[in-house]
Amino acid sequence: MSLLIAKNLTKIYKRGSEIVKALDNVSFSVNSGQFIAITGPSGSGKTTLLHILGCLDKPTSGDVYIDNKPVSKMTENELDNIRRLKIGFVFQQFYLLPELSVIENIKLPLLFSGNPKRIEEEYIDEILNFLGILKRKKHKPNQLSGGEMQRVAIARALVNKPEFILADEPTANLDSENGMKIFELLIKLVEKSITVIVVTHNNELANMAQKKIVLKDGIIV
Amino acid sequence: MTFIEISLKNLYRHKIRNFLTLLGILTSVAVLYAILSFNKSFISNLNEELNKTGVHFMVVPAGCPHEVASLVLHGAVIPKFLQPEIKNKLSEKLDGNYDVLSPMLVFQIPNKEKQRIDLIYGLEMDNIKHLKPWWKINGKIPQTNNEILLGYEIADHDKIKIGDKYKIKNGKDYIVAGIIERTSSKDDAFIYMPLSEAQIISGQNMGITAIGVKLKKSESLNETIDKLSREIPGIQIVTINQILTSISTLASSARVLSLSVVAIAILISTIGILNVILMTVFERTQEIGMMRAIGASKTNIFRIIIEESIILSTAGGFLGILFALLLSKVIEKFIKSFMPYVPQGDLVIFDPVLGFLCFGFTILLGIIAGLYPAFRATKISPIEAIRG
Repeated sequence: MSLLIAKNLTKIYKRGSEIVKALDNVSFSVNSGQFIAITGPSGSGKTTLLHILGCLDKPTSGDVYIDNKPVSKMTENELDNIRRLKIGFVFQQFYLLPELSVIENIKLPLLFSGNPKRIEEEYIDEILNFLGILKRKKHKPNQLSGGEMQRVAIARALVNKPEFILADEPTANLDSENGMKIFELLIKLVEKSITVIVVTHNNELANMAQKKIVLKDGIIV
Repeated sequence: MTFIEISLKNLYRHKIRNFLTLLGILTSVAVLYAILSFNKSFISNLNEELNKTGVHFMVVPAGCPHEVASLVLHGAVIPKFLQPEIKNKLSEKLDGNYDVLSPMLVFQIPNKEKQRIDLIYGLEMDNIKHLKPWWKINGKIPQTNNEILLGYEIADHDKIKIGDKYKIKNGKDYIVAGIIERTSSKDDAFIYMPLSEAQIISGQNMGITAIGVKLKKSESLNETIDKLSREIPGIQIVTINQILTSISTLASSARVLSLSVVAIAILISTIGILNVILMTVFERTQEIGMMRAIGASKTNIFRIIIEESIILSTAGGFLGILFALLLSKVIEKFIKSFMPYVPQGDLVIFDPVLGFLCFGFTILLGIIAGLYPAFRATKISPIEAIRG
């Protein structure tokens, strides 16, 4: 059964008098445990698509179905719950809170969700260990390298045991070695039955995915 | 980790900015607490003090406003005098219905040797215990015309001890029989001497400034006042209640003025909190957007922001009250410098109810100041914030 279905997604932006079609009738489905790369040149609509899949943005037309439920029919609270419990976000710029330690940043989603899955410290340590940052748990973000910060961001995305991870250019701010390591980590997540959808303009990395969606001018090519 | 911890850590991120805001709240609350405490104590202490004086009314020269009578009671100098025979007339008209009939003469006299003005308070020394029962006197009350009693400030300033000599205008040396312990009022600045001696050196030919009267039968007070006013021309009678009302009215304008200043200070502090928290929201747009993206609800965001505002105001309120109590003496001295009549006793004191009210008020201000920034924060679209 498909975990997520994108059906006829179209997104139109208005910039003054100019109308920009960021997505044009995009449809595809994602099964549980898949590793999908969304790729394409700059301005092709990759990030817009990821934001719509992550319930952060709304399509102009079309719909996203999560567990066969249309996102357009969901209330704001239901969308908050989906983002809290089903989705883990990894951003290009990490967005770690500088005043919080690594472990505190990772626990943020638990605070917002009220920890209904009763995630325990042992599980968090397991994630940190898996990501190779266990020894850094009490450090502040400014004491970490770029690669380590992205690992913390991945740990934060994983802490609520989400069904899928949405990563927007997770390697864009990293050197090629660290970028490769992050990608390898994402592949390991798939081995743990977590669905991963990653936006990247790096073809080499995109080729490592099980399914590649190539966008050009908002259309799947 | 809790929401409060996040709010606290964010406040700590901008230490100087938030410390300055805290300082503004602290000062406003300290002044607010001090003035409210002062006002509350003012009326009760005044009432207590006037009742302690042991007189039912003051007889002063006709035309003296009530507040002047009150000031005379506290040692002020006025240019009008009662004729000495008024005392005998009062005694006659009262026909024995009095316990205290205490004439007093208050005047100032230049002291060339010390290059200043001496304030002289002449009264019948036996009446001190009726008029100023709260005084604590080291030494003794003057028994003869060459003895004087000094207020604390004079003795302290001139380093005078009991038994020392003190020279007044005419060159006559007086022996300091006693020194009054600090009262923190105008009493501290006076030289007290027997009335007859004061009349001689004042050149007022037995004139007096006022006469304090305590009746034997207080129930006949109104009737007696009517009778005396009718039968003795040139006098005005002011009761202790009238004095209390007059002083309260006189002081109320100063209190209103000071409270107005505090109200403005509080308004500025509130705007200060609003400004700082709003600035924080603008600076953290991307962070807030990220929090929304990883599942924070609008309520979560609202809570984090409003808690920052409440933490700032609560800390300011608590420290402000503490500050007011720690510096109560300095604040009292400052307020007394512009209040027309201030009774004895501590006026800025720890009052749990008042403290609780001030504290609650500052929390309320924090909530009010934080409402708009918190509301603005909930309106941040995660997608717009992440796009930057």
